[in-house]
Amino acid sequence: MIPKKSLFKISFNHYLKHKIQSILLILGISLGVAVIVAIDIANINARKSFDKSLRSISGKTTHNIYSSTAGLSEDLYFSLRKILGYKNIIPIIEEPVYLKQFPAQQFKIIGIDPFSENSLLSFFGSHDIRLDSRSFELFLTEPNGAIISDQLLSKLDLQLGGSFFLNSNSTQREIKIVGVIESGNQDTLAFSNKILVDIATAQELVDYKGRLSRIDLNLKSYSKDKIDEIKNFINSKYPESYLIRSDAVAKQSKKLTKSFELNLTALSLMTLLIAFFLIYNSFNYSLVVRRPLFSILRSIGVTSKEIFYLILTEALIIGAVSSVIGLALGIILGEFSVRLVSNTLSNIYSVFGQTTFEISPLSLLKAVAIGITAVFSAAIIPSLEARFIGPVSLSSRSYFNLSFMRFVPYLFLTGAFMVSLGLYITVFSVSSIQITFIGLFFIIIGYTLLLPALMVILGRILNRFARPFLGKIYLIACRNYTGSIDKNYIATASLTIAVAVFLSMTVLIESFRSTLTLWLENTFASDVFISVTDRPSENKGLDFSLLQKINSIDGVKNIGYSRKIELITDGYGKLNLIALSENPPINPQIISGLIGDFKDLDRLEGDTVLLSESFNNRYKERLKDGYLFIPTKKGKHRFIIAGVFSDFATQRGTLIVKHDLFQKFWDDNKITSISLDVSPGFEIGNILRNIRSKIPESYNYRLSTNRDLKESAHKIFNQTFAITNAMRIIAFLVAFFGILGALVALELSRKKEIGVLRSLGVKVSEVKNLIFFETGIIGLLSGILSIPLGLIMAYILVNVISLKSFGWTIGFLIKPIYLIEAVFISLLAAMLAGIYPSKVFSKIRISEAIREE
Amino acid sequence: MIREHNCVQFESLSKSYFDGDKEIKIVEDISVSFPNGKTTLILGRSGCGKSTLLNLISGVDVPSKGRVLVNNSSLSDLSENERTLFRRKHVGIIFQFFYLIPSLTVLENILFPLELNNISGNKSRKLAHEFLQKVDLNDKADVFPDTLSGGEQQRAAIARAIVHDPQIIIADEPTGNLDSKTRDQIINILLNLVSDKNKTLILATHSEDLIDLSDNAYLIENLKLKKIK
Repeated sequence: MIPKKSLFKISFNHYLKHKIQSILLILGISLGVAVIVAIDIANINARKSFDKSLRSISGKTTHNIYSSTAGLSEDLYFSLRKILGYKNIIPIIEEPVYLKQFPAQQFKIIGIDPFSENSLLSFFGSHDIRLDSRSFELFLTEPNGAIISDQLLSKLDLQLGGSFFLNSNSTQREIKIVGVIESGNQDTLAFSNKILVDIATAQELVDYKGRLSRIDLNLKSYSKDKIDEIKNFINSKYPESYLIRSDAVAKQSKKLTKSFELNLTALSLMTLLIAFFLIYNSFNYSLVVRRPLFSILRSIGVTSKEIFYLILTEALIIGAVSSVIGLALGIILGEFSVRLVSNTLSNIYSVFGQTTFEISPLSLLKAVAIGITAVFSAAIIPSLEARFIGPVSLSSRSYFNLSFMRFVPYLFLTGAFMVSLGLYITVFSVSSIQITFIGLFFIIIGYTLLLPALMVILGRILNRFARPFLGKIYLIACRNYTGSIDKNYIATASLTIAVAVFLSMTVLIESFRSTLTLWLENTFASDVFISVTDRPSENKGLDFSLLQKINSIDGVKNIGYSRKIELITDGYGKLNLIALSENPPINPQIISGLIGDFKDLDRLEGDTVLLSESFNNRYKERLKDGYLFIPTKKGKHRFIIAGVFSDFATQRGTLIVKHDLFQKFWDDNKITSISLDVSPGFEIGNILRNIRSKIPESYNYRLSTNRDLKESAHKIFNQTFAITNAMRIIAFLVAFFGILGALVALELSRKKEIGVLRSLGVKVSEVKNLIFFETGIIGLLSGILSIPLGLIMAYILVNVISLKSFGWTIGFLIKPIYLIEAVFISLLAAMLAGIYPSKVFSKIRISEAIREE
Repeated sequence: MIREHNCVQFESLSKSYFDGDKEIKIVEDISVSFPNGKTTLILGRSGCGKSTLLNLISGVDVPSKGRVLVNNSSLSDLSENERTLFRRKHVGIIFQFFYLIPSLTVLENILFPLELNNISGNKSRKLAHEFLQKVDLNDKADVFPDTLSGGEQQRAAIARAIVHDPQIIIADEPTGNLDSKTRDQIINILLNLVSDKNKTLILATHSEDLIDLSDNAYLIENLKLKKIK
């Protein structure tokens, strides 16, 4: 049913007459929609980045052969080729390299056999990459010819046929560009930091003569027995090499990253909830302040049905206009969120390369749908009021509050039940992370239902205790709060939830920060650290001879070292293995198992290993017998789990062994990190200079002091939590705009009351104080009410969700300042919202205000 | 306390409004005195400017030309803040639609002007109760205005207007929203209180029935104030 033209005009004129409120209303709804779009964009693009990083180079591969040392023997490839034939086996070099122009940025060299049709097919056939025939021909014939992406070409500022220099170890080689792949789809995007060369060139460049990074196999048509036969052949002849299913690593990585995705989804749902409240809040107030108008319309013969449809039509138009603005705003905000998420991804999960920025039409549709649903939900109660409540009641101020107050006990009981159920699910029951999030949402929704009763109690306390100290003007403010719980509820609930989210994020971030600080303090105690900057997957390192040279520097004492390599395992995905010497650079903080500290590892019998907490939590079931198998150079070996240590450096599983045990099984003579202390009386700057002079230039290493190391750890921490921090800021912004729209509408609807006060002799300054006092009460009480919810949410985020999803135990840290900050922010948002009405009322024409209906 | 012969004077007073570019004149060049301690009626049809004249007397509004003198002092010479303080102390206003503060009880509404004038504690409560008794609302002291009838609300509004002992009481159609029986009751209360306390009452109404009860009466006609009693 389309409302009558004149009714439309009344609505339209209302919005036109109250321009500021109308702008705030549309802004509020737009912001809600924008938040939904932005979070969705961030979420989708994060998932795509993950998928992209997990993509295998050769898509038809079913199995891979890796080595537990640096590189596979080429002999293995030749032996297997005899068994399997040419068709199903592809040798691959995939190693990091650096370009002369960009020494700090890592690129990957991909070496394939240009004369093996399968290598090319495997590479090009599995990707949507097109190459012209001339380039293809040159790639086959031109020595040192490479194919690169057009992105890299423009970065190098070169043309097809140009050349550039590539560094790897101490070798430098001129590479000629023979082909360019145009970017434009997911596959070519994944190729953006890769350089494709023939396998011999690649072997030479990365010093892999006679060795391969891995072998890709297509064993689709082979039986399980045949595959086992191949496995046995590899184990017996090449014990340092092992065959794994191609999807095994990806599967484990997926499992690892799923928790992050889930967290992001939960955060976005929380923001979504706030956005929903914001939209509801904004539209609801625009209707609540028009109850007297609806009453007049009803009195002069407009039917309840007509008003009902008028409100719904308004909701549709406003929802649509705001959604369009919200979509544009959301895309801008989304770009910013994607950047923050990509920082987090690279810090926690080592997902590199370009992060995608795609906007899914589904996200936009979803945001509009949620936006319009929220506006409709907000419209439904007032439109039903207009429909079923008589014109006299509709104009009565106390009618709505009394009706609402009748529901308060029922809302309280329902809320209490929901909060209890939520707490049971999240804290006391052993359940999946998804169920935990559902529990958290029960708590949030339940708490909003408890709010009216809590508002009544707090309002009464305020009235009783503040009354003797307050003048009648301020008593009006207190009474307006308790006397209009129906009007103040949505504003209070929105502000409470937004501030609670803000508080919970603060506690989460600060708890994490303080735990990390303590962990850094205890784990890294030495004065100076020298570390290889190549990634562990390269399994590169410093020579042992360096130890002697550095130890001979005057002022150097307590020198220690560690070796870190990457293991690719069948059952646990990629793992870091760290071997520690005496006085090691890392002092693992053992949280369970081993009594004493790392030194006690010697006292335990057998081949023992320490596990990082997140790894142990992730595979608790599989590790419950107290041992695990790890691929070593001597084949798979059983290691006894001696204890668990806390590790915030990476989410990837980390194992620690004593260095002598490492040498026994891996026969590796490189060092990844060296640590040392500076003797008293020696200048640390001089020591650093001396160290630098002892290390050959060809090494990629970082020399840092204890302070540098901790500073950079904190820097990474801040980047990692950038998205959480952004959510915190969004929560505040949403709180501010929500309360601004609501309070401006609410206050301005009291023009006549203010006019009467002024005519009775209340000064302009007193009216301003009254407005600030009123908005201040809403802010203060919302701030106070946000504390219990914020702390419950923080507890669940820190102790339940972080542990379940990341496997990290974080010390729960609450400082009074966080609570004060939450109340202050709530108060600030509400007080700021009072500025505009107080300005309007300071210029009010009393005679007009009194006359106005 | 103001105790001059002429409490309020209009001196060559003109008032007009602008509706866009169009000037709407309410009164033009009028000079009238309202004697102290007397009841003066301002009569006229709806929209003729009765409320505007009352707003000029209370300092809510300012003249376009001329002056409003209260106790020989020009209100136009006062700042907005000074006019507010003048109103707070020397004027009591009674509105057609009562306009009690909905969030304060009846007693608190009556205490409100006392508090604005820094009268508090037992003294203010005693005064408020005294006036509640005078308007026969003692049993309604602790209820909120929206539970009262129209007559009861107006009685409370009268008590609020007089309780702080202002010299001038302004009543803008105080019975315009009431039935005839209640109207008579309200007028009696108002006139009795005014004469008891020797107040200057300026009452705007369109009802000519009240002329007999007043000391002076003026009719707004053709932008002028015409004395009819």
